[in-house]
Amino acid sequence: MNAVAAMALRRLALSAVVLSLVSAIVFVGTEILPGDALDSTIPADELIYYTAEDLSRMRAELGLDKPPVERFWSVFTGLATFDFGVTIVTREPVWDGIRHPLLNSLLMAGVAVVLTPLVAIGLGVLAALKPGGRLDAAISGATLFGYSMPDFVVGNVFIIVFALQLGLAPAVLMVAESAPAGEMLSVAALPVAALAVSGVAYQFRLLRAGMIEAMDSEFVERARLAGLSERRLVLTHALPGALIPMLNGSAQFVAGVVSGAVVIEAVFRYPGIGLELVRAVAQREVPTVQAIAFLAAFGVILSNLLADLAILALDPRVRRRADG
Amino acid sequence: MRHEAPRTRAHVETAGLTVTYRDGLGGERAAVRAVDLALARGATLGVVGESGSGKSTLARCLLGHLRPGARVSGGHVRVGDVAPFDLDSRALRAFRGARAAMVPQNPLSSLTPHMTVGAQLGELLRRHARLRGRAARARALELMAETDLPDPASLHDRYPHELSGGQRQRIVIAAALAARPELIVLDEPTTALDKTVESHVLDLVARLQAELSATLVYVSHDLNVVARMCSRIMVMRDGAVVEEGDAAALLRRPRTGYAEALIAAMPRLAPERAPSPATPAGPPVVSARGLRFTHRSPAGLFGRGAVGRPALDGVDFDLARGETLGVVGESGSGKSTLAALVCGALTGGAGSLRLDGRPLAGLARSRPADQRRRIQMIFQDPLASLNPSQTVVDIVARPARLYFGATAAQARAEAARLLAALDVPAETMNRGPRHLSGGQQQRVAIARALAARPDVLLCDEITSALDATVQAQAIALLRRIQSEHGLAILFISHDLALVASIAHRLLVLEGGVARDHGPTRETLLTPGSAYTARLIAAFRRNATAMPSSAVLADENRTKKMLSSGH
Repeated sequence: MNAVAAMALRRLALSAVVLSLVSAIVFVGTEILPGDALDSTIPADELIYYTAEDLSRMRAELGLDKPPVERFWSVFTGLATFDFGVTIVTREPVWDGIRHPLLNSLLMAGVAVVLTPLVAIGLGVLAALKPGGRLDAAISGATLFGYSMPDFVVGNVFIIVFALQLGLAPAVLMVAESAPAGEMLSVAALPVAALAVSGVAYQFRLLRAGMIEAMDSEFVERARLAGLSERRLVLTHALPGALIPMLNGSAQFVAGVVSGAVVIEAVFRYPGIGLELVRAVAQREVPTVQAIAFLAAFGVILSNLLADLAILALDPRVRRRADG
Repeated sequence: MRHEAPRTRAHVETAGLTVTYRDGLGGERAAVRAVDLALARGATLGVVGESGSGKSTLARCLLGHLRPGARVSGGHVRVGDVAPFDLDSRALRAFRGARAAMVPQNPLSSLTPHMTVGAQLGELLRRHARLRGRAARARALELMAETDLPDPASLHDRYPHELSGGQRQRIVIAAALAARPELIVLDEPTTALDKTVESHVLDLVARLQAELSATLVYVSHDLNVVARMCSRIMVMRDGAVVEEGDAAALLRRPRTGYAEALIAAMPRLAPERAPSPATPAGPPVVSARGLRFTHRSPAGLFGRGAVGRPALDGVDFDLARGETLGVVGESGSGKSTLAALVCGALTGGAGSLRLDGRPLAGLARSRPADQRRRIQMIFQDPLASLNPSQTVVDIVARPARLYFGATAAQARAEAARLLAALDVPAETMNRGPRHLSGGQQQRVAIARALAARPDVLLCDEITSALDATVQAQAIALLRRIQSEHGLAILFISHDLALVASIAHRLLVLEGGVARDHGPTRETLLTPGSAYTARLIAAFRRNATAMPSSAVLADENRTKKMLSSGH
């Protein structure tokens, strides 16, 4: 277990580098965009009321006149201690602004991330029982279709089918950002399903490939010729090994959820971190953008670490290698 | 209740058994053709043939198993009072393992990697003997002890990759015998094992078969092994039985030319027929002094990885033009490490390595192109060593482009000439390597090595993936090339008999240390170490059933030698 701890430690050290790079890239991105936080708070037709002196005085008050390196440093040092600072214009703590959207998104993404591998495993095992059979063909076809669909198409199709045609869910969510988790969950059903489609499809394909390879292996043939039941062959001999490539896919899915959430939240008007990010970018609220990007990168790194730990638990060979 | 079969009925029987596979083109190809088989209870039958002869398909049929795409298109199988292909899936599962057991070919890949070996024995005991918990564990330990596994209690909770090849094969055998079957089918169970380990496993199988008075069907391409294990032999080719009969009689007087060719192709340990080195030996092309290498585990968070026992520990050798140095030893003896150091695939070795007196850098990429060209390597798995996306002729043309700056047309013409000289059919030249047979693939690999016009050829187990007859052809080819081009060959194999048939001098490695080094004939007749004597004895033991006067004479010599304490 010592080696596992060492691996986790090594990963965390690497994460610090990745997080610094992410912050730098986000900062450069917001810097390249024309205009700054001040420009975006003053409507274009009101700009004529301000003189150049007014503008530069206001810039100085907001700290926008400092060189980029200095501004980056002040944001970055805050991030390193999980202190996200205050917004540029309203001087409110960034954390207060993103807390509720973040929790809402975590709720939606969390449900999707937990559900996705479970659905993928169920479908993958069913399909691998008889590769090339009718059930396999149906599931494989459906998932290939789902996988090739962009998230915004899936979201809009869901709205058309489930909200407009069947009337099972509201088309546009009318819910307060700070609504309690239970209420949020009840309206999140459709966004969660839309978010999970591509993940289920991708992870199903990884699992099915792994299952078919395992069911075709010499160790499963030996076990079969020793008289074990198909059920045992599938669940005990084939599945654990086949989960390994799928878990890597699950970790990738978490990264996909972060970008998927931006699109899905926009489609459903779900009050999550994605909508907040879009708003913050539009308003050039660099500290807010930085905070969201930082948290997203942190989430992706964490999920990859968890997937690696799960693989260690599943594959004794990797476990020993880590020990050696 | 089981009915006792009438005495006159055979215990295991197939009649007119025909199995066909769907081929990719919508047609069918017969893998087993009208095979009749009748075995009394307790009989031992060896089924021999080359790859693709249908012997493994036949073996699986005895347990009512067909690989996907196959079907029984005629005839039937019966074991005792059971026709496995007529059973429903539930009854078939009860029959398999309990009454008929299979020991598959490759112990390395036949155990589920993420389950401990104890768990894999336990599930069978639960299935067939209704044992659970402590009782199952106790029985599993008994089974492991029965197969001569050392310290069953500690091995029980280990994973397959933590066991040696021989130990894993014992586990597979223990699993097969867990429910005391009346029919044991073994499909090449020792092909992946070293000769001395093979010898022990064969003893074990023979003992357990006698104890259970089980009927034994032993599938192998190795006539020596079959002759040792079985009283009857059946020779198969293209799915049909070519010849069947009493083992000793068949080996002594084969009735068909095919069986005769199979017997002739088996390498036999015959020291008096070993080639002798040229005298005086020419100046060495390759010369190694004090070669050492230690594998390092990957560097951890805190410094370099742990350093283990050296894989190669102070090995010296000289290799002259026109000479073959045979390197033998079991897995882990450092044979392949030696080849990897000479061809520059490993970094961090110690000792000196010279080519024509000039020092060779450790890694191939730090050697001048001319030195790289002069040392060429041929690998065990020809398919894995040939670029699958190139045609055969392009693969062989590459060295001429790389080392001699030939134009594409020149290089292809040269490649075609080489391939033709090595009897690779002209119609295969524009195909990918996958479409060639194993023997042809290895010829292509040899042609690619020769295209660089090397002075030194490194051959690492180049025939272990080939059938005996194809192997014999490959060895003859290598001898011809050597006499034509005056090549120096480093020939590595675990098969002492094979090495002895081609090598002028022998280097015997054990655990990275040279145990013996000298002319082949002298080394075999008067081995300088107990290890070499043991290796020779293991080969002799498997070959005793082969009725060759030369073998018998060798046998007596070895006995004398061993008893006189060499």
